[in-house]
Amino acid sequence: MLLINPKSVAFADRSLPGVRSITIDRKTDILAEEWIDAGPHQVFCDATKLRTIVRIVQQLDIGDAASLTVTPLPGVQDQLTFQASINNAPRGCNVSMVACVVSVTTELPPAGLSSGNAAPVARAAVRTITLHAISPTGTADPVQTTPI
Amino acid sequence: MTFDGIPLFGNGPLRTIREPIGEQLTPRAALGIPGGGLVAAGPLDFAITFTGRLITDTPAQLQELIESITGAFVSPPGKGELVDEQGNAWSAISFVRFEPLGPFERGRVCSLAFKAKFVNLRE
Repeated sequence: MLLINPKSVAFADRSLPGVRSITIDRKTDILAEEWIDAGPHQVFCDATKLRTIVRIVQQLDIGDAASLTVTPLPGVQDQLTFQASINNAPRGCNVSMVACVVSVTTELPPAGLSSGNAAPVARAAVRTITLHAISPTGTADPVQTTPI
Repeated sequence: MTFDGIPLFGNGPLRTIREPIGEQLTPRAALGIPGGGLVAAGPLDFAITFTGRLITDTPAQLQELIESITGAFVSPPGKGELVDEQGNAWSAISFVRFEPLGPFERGRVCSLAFKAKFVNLRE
């Protein structure tokens, strides 16, 4: 799921400014799989170990020291909340989940070239916060959406 | 696969493994015979192992299936006819071991990988 320009993004009660997108991916690394003696084709497959991986892409504001220096650390687990437009909710949804930070990376894209002899155009640094959403029960979907 | 006409492991997938065929080799020292080396103690028992997966809709049904498998054990082991998925049949076989190969797995269905051993025990 790709959510462009989500609003009011907050993690651990701190606002995350400049979030350009949030992706929510579902992944399994280990499958339950079986074959039988009758032939070579797989006869059983089940995803019994799911991960919900959330990536927050944040454009950093060079003029805002807090947005540059305040970053969640890997291992921190807390509430992630935001508002986003989702197809089946015309006015958008409140999305919430408990999530654990697994990585925080920051990239400074190379400056773009402007036309003519003008100076290169500076581009904002981009921070990507990757989290794993945590289910409270193991059976419930860790991502909760509530139509606004 | 059935044992004495009962499909012990439900409808889950199974693979059949023939256990080794040949002589039981025993270290001489274990028999109190001086010196190294092995002694051929006689032919190995004919044995078949099944590996597979029990599959049910709910954990409770999976637990019930395991209890029905447990109920198939008697001590000393009884003998019955074993028929595999391909229709191969062996008579006078004993069900001697059921071994879960991990925890209950819960995804679309509930399942448990397992190994089960049947041996043609001698009188």
